[in-house]
Amino acid sequence: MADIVLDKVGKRFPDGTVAVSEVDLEIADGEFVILVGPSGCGKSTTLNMIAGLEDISSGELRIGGERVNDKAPRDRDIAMVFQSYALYPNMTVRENMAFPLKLAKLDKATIDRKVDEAAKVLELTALLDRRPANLSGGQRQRVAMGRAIVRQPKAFLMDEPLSNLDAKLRVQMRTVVSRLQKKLGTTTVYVTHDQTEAMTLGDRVVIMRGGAVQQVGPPQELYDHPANLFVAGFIGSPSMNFLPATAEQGRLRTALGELPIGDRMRRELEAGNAPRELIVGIRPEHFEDAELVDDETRRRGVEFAAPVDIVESMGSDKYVYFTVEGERATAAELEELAADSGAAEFTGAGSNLVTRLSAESTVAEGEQRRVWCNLEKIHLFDPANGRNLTLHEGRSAGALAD
Amino acid sequence: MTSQSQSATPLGAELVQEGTERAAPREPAATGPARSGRKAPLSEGKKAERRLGWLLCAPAALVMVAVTAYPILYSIWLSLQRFDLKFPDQREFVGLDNYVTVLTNGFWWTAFGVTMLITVVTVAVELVLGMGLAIIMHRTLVGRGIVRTAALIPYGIVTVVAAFSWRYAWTPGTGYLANLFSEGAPLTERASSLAIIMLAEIWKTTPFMALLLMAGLALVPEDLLKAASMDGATTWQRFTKVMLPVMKPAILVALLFRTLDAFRVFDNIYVLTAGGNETSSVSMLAYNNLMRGLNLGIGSTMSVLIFLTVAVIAFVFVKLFGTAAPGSADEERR
Repeated sequence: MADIVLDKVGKRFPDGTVAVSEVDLEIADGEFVILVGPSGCGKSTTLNMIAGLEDISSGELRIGGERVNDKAPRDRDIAMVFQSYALYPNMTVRENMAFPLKLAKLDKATIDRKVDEAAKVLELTALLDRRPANLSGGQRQRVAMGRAIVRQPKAFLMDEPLSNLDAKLRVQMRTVVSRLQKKLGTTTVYVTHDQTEAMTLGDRVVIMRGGAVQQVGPPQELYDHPANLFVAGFIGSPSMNFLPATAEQGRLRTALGELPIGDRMRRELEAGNAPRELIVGIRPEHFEDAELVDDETRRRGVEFAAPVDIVESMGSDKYVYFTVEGERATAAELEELAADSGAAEFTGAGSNLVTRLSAESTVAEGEQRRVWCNLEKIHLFDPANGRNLTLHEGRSAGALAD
Repeated sequence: MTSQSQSATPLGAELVQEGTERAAPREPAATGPARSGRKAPLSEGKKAERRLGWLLCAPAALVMVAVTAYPILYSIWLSLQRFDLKFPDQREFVGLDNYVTVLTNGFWWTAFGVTMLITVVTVAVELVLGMGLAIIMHRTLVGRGIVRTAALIPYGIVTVVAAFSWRYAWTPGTGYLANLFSEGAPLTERASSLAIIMLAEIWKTTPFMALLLMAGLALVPEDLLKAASMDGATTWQRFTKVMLPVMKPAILVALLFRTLDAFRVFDNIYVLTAGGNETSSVSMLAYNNLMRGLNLGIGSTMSVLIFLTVAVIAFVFVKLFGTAAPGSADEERR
């Protein structure tokens, strides 16, 4: 077991493309860190550099305090789980799991004991004499995990290990991975493009975009205090609503009506270097059916009316889609997020507002509905560089903050 | 191995999941011959479909019969007769006498030994060289097209032409190789002749081997090799413990093709030594008896024996295939 330190690690391919630029990251011993981002953000390249499968072009990588830039993968003592599982088709489950131990030249009795132990943990004992071709996807995935844990490496690297499983099994395996990591206490770096996996699994999440780290922190912190537009849009499902806004005389003019801003925000906006055109970001759960809000709460937000487009009842709450007038918010980050989710080509008229209302709400499709919005949770972004303007000393207290 | 285990295909094994091993006996393919055994009367549409099926197969089947089945059967028929075109009047059915004659003859066994030697040595060397070449072609990043084209040139040259260029190269006095390596005439001595024949064969067909093996290399997932290097395997261990086992089916196919080809070696020997100094292969011997000796009976007997040997080799390889596919049910029971 060991800590992993990435010190300005970069990857530049021979043709000049920069896949990863100057990633600084300190992963503590026993920590579970998730690298997440849209495809092509450099997360897998970063993982491969830690593994040694990809050369490091610049910077330094230290595992357990030792520089390993030039060490071959087999000398780094780390195990990796692949998305394709990469099980050896010619070997049984037992042979697959014993393979790294055999290469390490352990004696037969020790190998058998370790394989049996690992098989027990992952409930693979009954399958030990099968071949990968005769296993289901979930079983193969567990064998791949087994092969990684069996030799008690310094760290685990996991490259989208659950992506090939169907949705239900993926949720189930998520808890298995989480429990296993806690039990073994091994430093783990986990790559995924699924923000739900990132939120639920990691001690800390690293959000990457275009080869650069956007923000590092515990999942809840990323959710509550996103550093920029990209993080705000990437984390959360359904994702944050973004609306264009104009700052005018201490107020924000938006499609939801005029919103007040707090003193600190106002000072910053009036300081001159802040743009007048802004993007307002509001999470779906910070809306509520105006009928269900008590007076005390009502004072902390604003109310507006909008036509209801679609109601999706989830049982525990309702996702209500409103149509609001005006342009959609535009920024490079938002376009990239849309492209990644495949929604780029889908453009409805006007902008859509996704809200998450209480299940008790009697909202119906087609009607005009009054909705309350919590101003304390509003984020303001600079469309030019995506920076979260409401963030003060790493915390975001909404547009009303004094 | 039981006959049941032979019928299990790797695909069938793929479908066998936990607890379903005994579920539903494997159905033969819907249009397979098994269906035709059923008593149920066929509908009009089915009949028409079957008729169309036969009609569509007919031309190919007829051509096959004309060019393959007929010559085979005819040469078997010839091999059972005393039939020498020099003495056409003495033609008569002699049963297996020709086989006794050939199989008790020293020339046949010498030629058989030479053929076996050439087959084993060339195929073995080609496998090693071909594998190396395949890996080079597979791994090259720069000038991939040029590397592959260059490697395939020998295979593109007509065998007889290539054989002549080897012959001239080894001709004392004028040949550059003969002057370089030896004082005498290497093609006039048995050992050196055989060595040169094998060299010519290897030079010519290694690219073919490499091509087949390269197809096998493409079957080895990159992730598998990455996983092996994470698991602590050296380059050599990755090659022997991961790459070769996964490639085994492709290797067997390549070996089968090359073995069958090599066993019928003719052109190179014909041009280089014309079978002199006991360098004849069985094909050469059969040719000499049939075309030069005009002894259709003995020549056909040799052809049939070659055919049988090739069939046995093919059979052995196909048997090996059955257990070759990784994870197949056959291998499970081994």
